[in-house]
Amino acid sequence: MQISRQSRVRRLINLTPLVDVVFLLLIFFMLASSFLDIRQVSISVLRPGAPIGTIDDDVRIRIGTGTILTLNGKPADLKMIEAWVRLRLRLKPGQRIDVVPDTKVPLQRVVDVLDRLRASGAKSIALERPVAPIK
Amino acid sequence: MKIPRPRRRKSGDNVTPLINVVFLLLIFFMLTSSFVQPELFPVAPPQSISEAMPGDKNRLTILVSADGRLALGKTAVEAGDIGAEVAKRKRANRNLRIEVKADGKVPAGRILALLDRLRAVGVNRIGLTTARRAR
Repeated sequence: MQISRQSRVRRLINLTPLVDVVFLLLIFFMLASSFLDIRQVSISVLRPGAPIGTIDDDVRIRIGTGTILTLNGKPADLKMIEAWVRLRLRLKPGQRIDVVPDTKVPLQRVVDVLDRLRASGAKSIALERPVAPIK
Repeated sequence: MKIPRPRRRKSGDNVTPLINVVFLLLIFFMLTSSFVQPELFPVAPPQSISEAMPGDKNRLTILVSADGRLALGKTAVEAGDIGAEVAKRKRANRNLRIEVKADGKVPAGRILALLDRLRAVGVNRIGLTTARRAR
């Protein structure tokens, strides 16, 4: 007796339109989405006439063009500044740190310095305008 | 002469694994992405290690492009008018928080000038938008 071969089950649903739509959705999400992880750094804006600390009390960091940095008028590097800021904050928690970038310094460099200050524990950081460019 | 019956063409490649992968990609993009907010001009904020999240709905974003254009929310503003505009919106919403989203290449002088204008209308704290630096 010959057994008839079972006919293959026909595929019932055509998947092509589904795949088309899924591809379109995929392209839409790939183009419309952003993976930029947005954060922020908060900065105090000093009121005009706000008391500016005395020289001894002050932590004032100037950011010059290139890699120039000064701490209270003396040349410094980021490590020295971090150590000084930690010390000042231990003596006086809540100490405000003034950052004075030269006008031509790109914002990215300013933010790099702000990051280091935050990492040293500074909570209150103010940006100030330079009076004269660093020599 | 017996001519062999043409064999039925094999159905095309199996597309199931492809569809599986495409679905996975689609789900990945849908879950991990956030949508790009349309902005007047492209701004690449500076990178930072800061983890502070930007504020809630009470924020007002000031965009500063690398070539110095300014925008308040979604409208372009001249540098001279920014103080008045912010003051107007601040009167309407007292809890307004100002966020400055500036390009990383913007010279610091431009940001300082903007801060001066904000300071003049009584803004005493701003958030500087940054992008999280990949570790």
